[in-house]
Amino acid sequence: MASPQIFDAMKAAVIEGNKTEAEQLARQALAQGVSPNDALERGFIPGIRRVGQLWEQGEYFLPELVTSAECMKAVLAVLKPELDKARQKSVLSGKVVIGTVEGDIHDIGKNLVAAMFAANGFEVFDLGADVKLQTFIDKALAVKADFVCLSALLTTTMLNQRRFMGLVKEQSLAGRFKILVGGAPVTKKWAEDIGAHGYAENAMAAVRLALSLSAGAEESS
Amino acid sequence: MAITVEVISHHHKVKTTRGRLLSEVLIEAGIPLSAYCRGRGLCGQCCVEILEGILPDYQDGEHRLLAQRGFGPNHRLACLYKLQGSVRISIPESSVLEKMPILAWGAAIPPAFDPAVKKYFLELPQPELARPESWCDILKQGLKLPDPQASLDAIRALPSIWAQSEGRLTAVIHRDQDILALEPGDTTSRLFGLAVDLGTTTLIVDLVDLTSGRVLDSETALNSQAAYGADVVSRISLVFAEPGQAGRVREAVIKDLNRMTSSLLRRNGLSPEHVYEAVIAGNTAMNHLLTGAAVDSLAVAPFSPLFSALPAFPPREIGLGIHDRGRVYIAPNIKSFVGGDISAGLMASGFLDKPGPLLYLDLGTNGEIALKKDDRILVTSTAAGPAFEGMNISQGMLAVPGAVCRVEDEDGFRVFTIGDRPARGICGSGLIDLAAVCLSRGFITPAGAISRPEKRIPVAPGLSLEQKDVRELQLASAAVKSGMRMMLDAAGLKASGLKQLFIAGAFGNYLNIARAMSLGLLPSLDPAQIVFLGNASLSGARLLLLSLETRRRLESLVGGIHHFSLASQPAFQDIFIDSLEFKPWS
Repeated sequence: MASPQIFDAMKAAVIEGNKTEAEQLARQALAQGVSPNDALERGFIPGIRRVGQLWEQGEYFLPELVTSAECMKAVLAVLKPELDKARQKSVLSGKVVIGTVEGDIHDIGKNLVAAMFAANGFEVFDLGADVKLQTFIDKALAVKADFVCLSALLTTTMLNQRRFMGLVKEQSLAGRFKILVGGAPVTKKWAEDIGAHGYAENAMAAVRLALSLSAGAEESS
Repeated sequence: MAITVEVISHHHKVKTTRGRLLSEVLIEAGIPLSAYCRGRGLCGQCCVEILEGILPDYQDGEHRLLAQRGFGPNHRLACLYKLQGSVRISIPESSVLEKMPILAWGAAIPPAFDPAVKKYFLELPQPELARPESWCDILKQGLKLPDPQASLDAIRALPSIWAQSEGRLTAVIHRDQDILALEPGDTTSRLFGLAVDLGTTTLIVDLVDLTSGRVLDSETALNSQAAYGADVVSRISLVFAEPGQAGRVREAVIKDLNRMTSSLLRRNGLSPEHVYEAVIAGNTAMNHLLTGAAVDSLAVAPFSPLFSALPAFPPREIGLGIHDRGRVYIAPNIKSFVGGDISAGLMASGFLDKPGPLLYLDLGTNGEIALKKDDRILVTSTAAGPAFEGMNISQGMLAVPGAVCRVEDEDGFRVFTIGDRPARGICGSGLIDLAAVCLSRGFITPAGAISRPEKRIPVAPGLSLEQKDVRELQLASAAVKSGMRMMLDAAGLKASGLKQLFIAGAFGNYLNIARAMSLGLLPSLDPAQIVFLGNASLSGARLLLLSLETRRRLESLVGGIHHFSLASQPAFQDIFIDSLEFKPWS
C-alpha cells in the first residue's frame, strides 16, 4: 500500500505546477497499486482545490492557474484509461459543454474555464469561439451534458446568452442541463434576468458553482 | 541647351533647360517655394526678384498681385516665368513656405502647405456684347481651373456679389475643383478651419488659420456621449440594442463640438462663416456614431466597419456649426477597431513615410499597435482595458490635477502629483511607476503577488496599492505586450531589430520609459529610439487639414494596411499568459 506521503507529493506537485513530477507520481501510484480514484481524491484534486484557494487569496494568478491545470491534464491522461478499465464509479462525473457564443471571437477566458473544469475532473467538450447557439444544444443533447457554459466578452454578444435561453425554452429542453454564463460584461444580475442557472466571475468560481449545483442536484434527487 | 538658375538668397545654383517654368525648377531643386494656387498665377505667393536675365512683360493680373505685395518692377511670379536663358534671382522670405507648425518631431518629408479649401481673389471683367459668355464661364476662366464645379447656390449668389464688388470677388474652392462660395471683395486673408480630436472620453478642437497653418486657439471638453456608455463598445451596444437612441448619441457629441466651436470663434472674433472646413480624427466607432452610420456591423464578428474613407461632406449632414457650404472631412478608418485616430497619427508621426522596421503604439482603453516592415504594415487592437487611464484601479483616476503620476523610491515612496496638488488617487503612469518600484523592492513578485500577507501596500496617506490593482495592470500590460510580441513574430522581427517605437495616447510625457521596460510593458530599447508623440490624432487632424497631398496619400495607403487578428492566432493564449509576468523583454 502506498504511504500517505505520495498523496502529499501529488498535492504539492499540482500546487507548484510541476507537470513532470505530477505525471510521474500518477504512474508511480498506479505501479504501487493505488486506485486511480484514490490518487485523484486524496492527492491531485485536493491540490487543484488548494490552487483555487490561492487564487482567491490573490496569491495565484492566471499563469499559475494554467500550469496547475496542465498538471491535472497530464495526470488525467495517465489515470483516465485505468479508471475506464476498472469500470469503477469514477469520481469524475460532470460533463460540460462550453464555448464562446456566436458573434464573439474572444476565447482566452473560456479556455481557462474549460481547463479548470477539466482539471477538476469534469469531462469537457470545448466547442471553441463564435459557436452557433444551436450547436451548443445539439452537443449537449448528444453527450448528455450536465452543464452548458456560454461565454461572451462583449456587451453586444452577451445578448446571445439571452437568445440561448429562449431557444432552450422553445425546444422544451428546460431541465435537461444547467446553463452557466460568464464573460467580462456579464454579471450575476444578468444571469438572473435571463434565467440562467448561474454566473461565475472566473474559472475557479465556475468550477465551484458547478460542484455546488451538482451536489444540490444529488441531494434533491 | 543648358542654362543655369542661380538663387542668390539660397546659395543655390541649378542647371536646367529653356522653356521650363521657374517655379517648377525651384521646387524640384528643393527650395520650399510657396505654391498655394499650384502655378496658376492667382495667389501671388511665389514672386521672385530677377537680378539678372530676361524680364518679360507682366501677364494677366501679375502686376496687380505684385503691387499688392509691395514688389517693384524687377519682381515676377515664378509660376508664370518661362525660362528663356540663364537667370540670377533672389527669393524673398515671404515667398518661401514656413515649416508647418504641426509637429515638434517632424515628419520624414515635411508636406507642402496645401489646404483642401483655398481662397482666390479675382478681378473679373463684365460680360461684353462682343464676348457674350456666361458669368459662370468668366468666373471659371478667372480661376484657371480645368473643370471647376459651381454649386447652384454659388451661381445664384453670383450676380449680387458681382454687383456689390464690381467683379472684385473671392472664390472659395475645395480641392481645386468645387466652388463652395463667393464673397465680395478680397477676403483671402480670412480663412479658417477646425482640427478635431474626436475622442471617446475627451474632445479637442483646434482653430487653425488656413492661410498660415498656425493653430490660433484650442478648446478641450469631455465627450457627453459618456452618458451613453464610458467606452465605445457600450455605446455601440446601446445603439445596437435600441436603434432609436442613435440620434441622441450623435446629437450629444455634435452639441459638444458646436459649443466648443462657438467658444473658439467668440474668443477670436470670428463667426461660423469664416470656417470652411473641419477635419475630424476619431476611432471607427466614434466616426460611425458621428455620421449616423449604422453600427450593427461593428457590434458582432467579423466586426466590419461600414466605411473607411469618406469624401468630404457638407457640415449640415451632421449639423456642425461652420460655414453652411463648407466641408467636413473624416480621417479614414483603417479597420473596425483601428480608426481614423490611428490613421491620422500614423501619418503625422511619419510612420507611413519613414523606412521600417517601426512600431507604433497607442496606449488607451484599446491598445492599438501598428508594425511596419519594408512596405508591409500590420495593425491590431488589443483589449487593454481602462487600467492605463487609471480606471478599474481601487484608487485610480484620470491624469488630472491631484493624480499621482510619478513615484520615486527614496527610502519609501515619494509621490508626485499632477499640478502638485495633494494626492487624490493614482493615474496610469503613476501605477506603472509604483508597480516597478514595488517589484524592484520585492514588495511584489514578478508573478504579481503582493508579498505581504495583508495583500496591500500603503503608498501615501490614504493611498494604497491593492492586489486587485496589480492584477489589472498585469492584464492591461500583457494585452499590449502580447500584441506587440505576436506582431513582431508574424513579421519575423525581434524587438531589437526595431528602428523606432512611437508612443501615442494617454501617457504623454509622464510615462517613465525605464520603469515601463522593467515591467515588460515596453520592449527594452535604447530610450533614444522611443518617440513620444503626445496627441498624435490631433496632430494628424491638423496635418490633414493643411495638406491635401497628405490626405490623398493617407487614403491611398489605408487600403493596403493589413489587419492582424490576435484572437485568431493559436499562440495568443500562451503568449498572453506568459506576458502576464513582470519582466523585461528578453
